[in-house]
Amino acid sequence: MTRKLAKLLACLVALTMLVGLAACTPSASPSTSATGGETSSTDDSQGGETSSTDSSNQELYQIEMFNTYANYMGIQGGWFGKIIKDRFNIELNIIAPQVAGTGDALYQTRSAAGNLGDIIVQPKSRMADCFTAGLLMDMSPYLDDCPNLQALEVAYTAAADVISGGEGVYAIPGRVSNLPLDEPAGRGINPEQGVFLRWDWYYELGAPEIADMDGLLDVLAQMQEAHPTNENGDKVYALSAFKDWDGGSVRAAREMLFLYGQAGVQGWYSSNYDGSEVINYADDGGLYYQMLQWWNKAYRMGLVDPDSSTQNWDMIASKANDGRICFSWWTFLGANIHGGTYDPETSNPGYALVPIQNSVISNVGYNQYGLEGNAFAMGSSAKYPERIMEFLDYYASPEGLLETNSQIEGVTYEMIDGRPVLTEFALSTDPNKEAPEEMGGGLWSDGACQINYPLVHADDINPILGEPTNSSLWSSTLESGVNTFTEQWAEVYGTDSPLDYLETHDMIQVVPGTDYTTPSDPSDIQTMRAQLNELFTATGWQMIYAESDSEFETLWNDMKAQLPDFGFNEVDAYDKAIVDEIIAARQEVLGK
Amino acid sequence: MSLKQSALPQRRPRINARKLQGYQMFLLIFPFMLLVFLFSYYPLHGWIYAFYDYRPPFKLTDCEFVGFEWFISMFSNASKRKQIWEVLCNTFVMSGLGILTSWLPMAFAILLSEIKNQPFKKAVQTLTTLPNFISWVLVYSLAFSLFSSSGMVNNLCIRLGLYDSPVLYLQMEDNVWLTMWLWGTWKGTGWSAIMYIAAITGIDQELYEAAYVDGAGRFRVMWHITVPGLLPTYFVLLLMNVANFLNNGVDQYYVFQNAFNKSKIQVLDLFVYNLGLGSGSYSLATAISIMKSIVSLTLLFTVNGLSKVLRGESII
Repeated sequence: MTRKLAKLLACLVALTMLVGLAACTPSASPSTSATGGETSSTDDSQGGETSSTDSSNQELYQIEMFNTYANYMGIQGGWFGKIIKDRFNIELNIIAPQVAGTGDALYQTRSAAGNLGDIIVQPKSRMADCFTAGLLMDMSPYLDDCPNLQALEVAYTAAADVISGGEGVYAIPGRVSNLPLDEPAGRGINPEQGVFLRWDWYYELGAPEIADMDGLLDVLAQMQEAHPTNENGDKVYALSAFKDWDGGSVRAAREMLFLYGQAGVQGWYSSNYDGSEVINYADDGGLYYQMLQWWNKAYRMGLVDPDSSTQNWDMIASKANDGRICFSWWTFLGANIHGGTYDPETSNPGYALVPIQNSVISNVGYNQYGLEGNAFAMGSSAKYPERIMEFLDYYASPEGLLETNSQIEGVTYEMIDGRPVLTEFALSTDPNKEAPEEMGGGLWSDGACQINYPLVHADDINPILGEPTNSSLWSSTLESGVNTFTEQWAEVYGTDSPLDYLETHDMIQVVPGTDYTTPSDPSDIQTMRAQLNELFTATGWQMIYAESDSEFETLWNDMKAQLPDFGFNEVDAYDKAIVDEIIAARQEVLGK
Repeated sequence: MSLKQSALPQRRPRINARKLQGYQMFLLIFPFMLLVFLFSYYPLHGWIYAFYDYRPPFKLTDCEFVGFEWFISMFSNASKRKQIWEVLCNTFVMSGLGILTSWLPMAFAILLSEIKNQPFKKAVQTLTTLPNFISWVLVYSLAFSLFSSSGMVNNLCIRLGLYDSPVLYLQMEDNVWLTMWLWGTWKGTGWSAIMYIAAITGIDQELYEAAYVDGAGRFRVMWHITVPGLLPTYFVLLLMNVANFLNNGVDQYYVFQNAFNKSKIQVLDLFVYNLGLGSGSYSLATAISIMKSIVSLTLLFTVNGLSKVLRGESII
């Protein structure tokens, strides 16, 4: 009896294991994880091409978007989510490596698995690899129905040369602009980088002129001393940094190079606008070293937020929003927080550009080949390519541009005498303002488009408005946007626009836009670079937190001694060749 | 003849029955063999990545075969050797600390079993077992809210006037080994004690009674009866710990690592993770984990040899 039972049991166990194993093997059917509903699978088999398209439009399509630029992970919700759902019956599932916080692991695992996503937003340099590995789909057959994407032809033809050897259209570069390439592509009236100080506290000190970086530290020290806590009683630090965008060096120090005409070009190389001054971060006593020294000096003065080396973007952004830091080096972390509508009469803290007298800011120019080197592509396993193209075409359209920039007629702006004018709603700095009921309600800020990287630059003229999409460049904003803050700023600097001030004082240099695309690293270089990156960043942070000059020096020298062993010379030679190509491309544009 | 003839048909079914039983036994063990194969042998085919110049998104077949290049580059110069040595040091020290203090759960179990107040005993046991079920990520967030620059400890000390500016406990390099061991002990002691508590209940009560009759005090009873009773269990667990000498796991060190303590916290598993998934050097990371297997095998055979010499019998 017991033996029979054991027999039965053994058979049962073996059977369940086999079934379990069978369930583990990949099924031959196409992955369904990317699609929300499977209701129309029967419809697909009926009729011809067109009828299946029609039926597919009725089905809710969840588009997976792999987006290296997004700071949000998950389904796009809120009012913008409602707009695209109503119009295209799609849902956008954003996969953001930046949020996942595991570096490139997400890209590597997903690309190795053969499916990055239905829409892919990532650097052009990676697109070539993805093309070779067969991860991308040719968009050219669908472009005929996409007039707005066709307008980007110059950009995607140039990109195709690099990515797919001129064949098809596998990627469309983003932030494309038709504005003059020798004009700085900033964020509205501000440059991309600069020194942005908490204006009310700086103005309180009498807006003293700042001669150099040491002078900046003095002012920051005074600001922190006068305001040890913010309005809510939270501790204020003059300087704060974060670690998750570091890459190959401490970003907080690297970004300071922009203040002296330098901008990173490749690896640890940085160059001025025309390539006449090329520096390396590993230079003894070089600019990067000096900036680490500057941060260290600030640290020893008690001005650096001790959380700097551990906190992430979200944390520093929320500190800036609450006015808990006195200094920021980006417009989007400075002047443009609270939608750039700062008014000291409300309780909102705001940041404004304060020029450092001996600085020359490096700023990229508008580029018809796209800015920041990223591009949009379609995944080779996308289920409904034509629906994705329909969405991308909308994304590049004047209408899409307005909506993705949170501009809705009747809600955030109105056309008065043929000119767009911001409404009370748009100007309200209340962080808890809600979207109108007919748009689905919810917090206005939460419902905004989370893609965070456009196809077309927001400074370009939008045909619907007859003015740029970017509301801070509207004639009405420039004229009537006078509040106490802009008055104060104009009073100190004699103009309304920080970019104007910098240009008239020769304090900005424009890096010309080229169509150059950096190739992706071969594997041996990638391996060496990965270890070197870690060495650079870890040492950089330790140097910022060094307690004495000798400790600071020792850390630097130790790092320098280790560099060659981890392959610095090989990577350096590889990078140098690329730097030369970049400079050649720039000089071609500059006509030298 | 007749004997033979009658014997044969009798024997045949016996052989068949034995064979049948053999099949049955095989069927019984087959699922487990399959599992062992799937989880212990099948993954070994991934070792092939160590011999290629692999880079996602390309397929392995599209990548260059490089032979032992990664293994050589691992030890090719002083800095790299120093790094590997550092990592091995961390691994050995942290595992060593764990093994040196592996008697702690046993001591804890013995002391716990001496508590006569049942509700209190249960409460202590529950409270000490609970941390085992908290994931390391949550443990870190607990550590962060306690010890970060704006954490409770710093706030308290600054309010009490003990020091002016926050002390960055989580970035300290000097005592990482100790703090990691403390966190691990806090998390694991209660859980590991369960085994010993079970073993204590298995000790013959008559031994205790006899000892009390002989006039032994409480501590003498603990020392001469409970401890010897637990030693077999202890040694089995110790052996298993030694076998896992190189496997410190990743999660604890991963959540606690930062730019400042990396040289002290990076154990082998974390090093491999950081190299592979962290920075995309899959081939090198695979090569290092192969080296890890080799070190493990060496350790195993050393212990086995020792056991042969000392006890006259081998483990494997």
